Amino acid sequence: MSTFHWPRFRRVFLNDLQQQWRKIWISSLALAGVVLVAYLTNLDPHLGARPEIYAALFPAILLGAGLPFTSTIFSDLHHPLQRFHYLTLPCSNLERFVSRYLLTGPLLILYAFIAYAAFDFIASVIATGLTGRSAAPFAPLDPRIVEMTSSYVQLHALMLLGAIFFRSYSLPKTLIAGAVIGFGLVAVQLITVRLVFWEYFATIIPSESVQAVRLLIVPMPLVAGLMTLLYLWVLYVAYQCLREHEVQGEL
Amino acid sequence: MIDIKDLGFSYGRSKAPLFQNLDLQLSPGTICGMLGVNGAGKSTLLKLLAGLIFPGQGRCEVLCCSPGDRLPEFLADIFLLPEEIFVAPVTPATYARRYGGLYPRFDLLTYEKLLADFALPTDRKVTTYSYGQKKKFLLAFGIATNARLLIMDEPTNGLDIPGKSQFRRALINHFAPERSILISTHQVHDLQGLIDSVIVIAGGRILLHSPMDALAARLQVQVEQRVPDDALYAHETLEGFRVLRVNTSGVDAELDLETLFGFATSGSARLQQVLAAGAQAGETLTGDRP
Repeated sequence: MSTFHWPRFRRVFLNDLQQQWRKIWISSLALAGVVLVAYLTNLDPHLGARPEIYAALFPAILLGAGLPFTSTIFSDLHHPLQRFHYLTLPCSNLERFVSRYLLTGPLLILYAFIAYAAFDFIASVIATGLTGRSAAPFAPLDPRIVEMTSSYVQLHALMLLGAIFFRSYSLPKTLIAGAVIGFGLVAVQLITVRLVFWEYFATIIPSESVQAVRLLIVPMPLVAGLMTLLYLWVLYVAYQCLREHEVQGEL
Repeated sequence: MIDIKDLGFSYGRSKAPLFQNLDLQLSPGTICGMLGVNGAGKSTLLKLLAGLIFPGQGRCEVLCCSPGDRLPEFLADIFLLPEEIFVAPVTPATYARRYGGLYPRFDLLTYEKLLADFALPTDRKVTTYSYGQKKKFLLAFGIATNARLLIMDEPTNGLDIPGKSQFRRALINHFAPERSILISTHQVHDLQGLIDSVIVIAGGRILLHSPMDALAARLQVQVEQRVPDDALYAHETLEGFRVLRVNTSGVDAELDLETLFGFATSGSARLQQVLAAGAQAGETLTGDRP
């Protein structure tokens, strides 16, 4: 029994893409408008250096559009009528999952890079014609862009999990759940440091343990490895949630 | 085709079990009607068979697969037509391309023929159809998938009078020995003469599961002006009493499903006696004891 069949996956992916096409198209037009407005309102002819508008705008667009898009990608899984149709289509859970993961993750990032670069170029030409100045061209390999993109990748995995797990309002619920877990982990970390190094602290004020945590030197490859493992684990949990998803309520 | 043994299911741990030790077998080549009052567990059973929910205990196998695994090979062999339906906002041709392509044995010619038989406009998006037209459309699609098991929940709800006869004709014309059709409905008259076996379910138990011809050999329904002493069950209608009694004529007559359902759900101990007598006579009548 095959659980991943390439021609079938292709059909599933195309169905998902066609289902989301309207959203992608409208978002692209909105992106073009936002980029143009940002260029025209942020170019002062009297300033010397060319502003790097992309450094703030691209991450804002990627996170601002990508995360809500991801949070709604499994809306048919929870829709009272669509869920029967979606879950009884003859494809494997893995194909369902990978299709939507690609659509909202790697392929969306790729599309965002290409679309932003194109709109950035067009807005630059228009802005030069109107104001005589242009912003610094979009640099996808700028460390700030790379860092924000990797943040999106991590958040995307969480949002994908939330989109499957929560039946409604998955965006705010995932953000709240993520914040609670994040604060919880930080609290555990601080308390652990405080307890382990008990004799080095005079008070129970956590600011001292914050300092102590900062002193811990963790090698970057280890951090990257742990983050990758965490990322894969979140994706695995999301897949399991999809696999074990049950339809409650009436037919 | 369907093999359920000692099935247990409940919606949540704190809730009372809906099914306990449920047994059900269904062979290929059957059009089976499932009857039951609201809350009897019909829809839940259909969802279990389609892999939309998972059993708490026991075995549930459909086409030699566990439905909960949702294997693509299994899903390609079943088609579920729910009571409340969803259709994608596309034309029938696009629908067939998008979703028919996922069914390995999807038959485009059958699909187009059924759309024509149902007089469905093919140049419009399916979402613009009326409720009844959507049901006909999904029925056409379901039949064209050539799935071995068609599961339908209230398929005739919303169908007009010609639509109901078209529905029956379509099912009969495209029925094959390797296929089975399971129809859950409250519209018992729509199943009259269509089904060849019946399941009566109540309170999460199967009260009756039997081929119709075996029942017809054992029981008969007649309209009479008073309830005779030998009546197993009777209910009043405008034309008199519909009386169910043991068939002593030796001639099989078509059973009125409504009366049969009333008898099965009446809680009468005589149902078990009739079933037991049928079983002794070598007929395949089954039913859970209360």
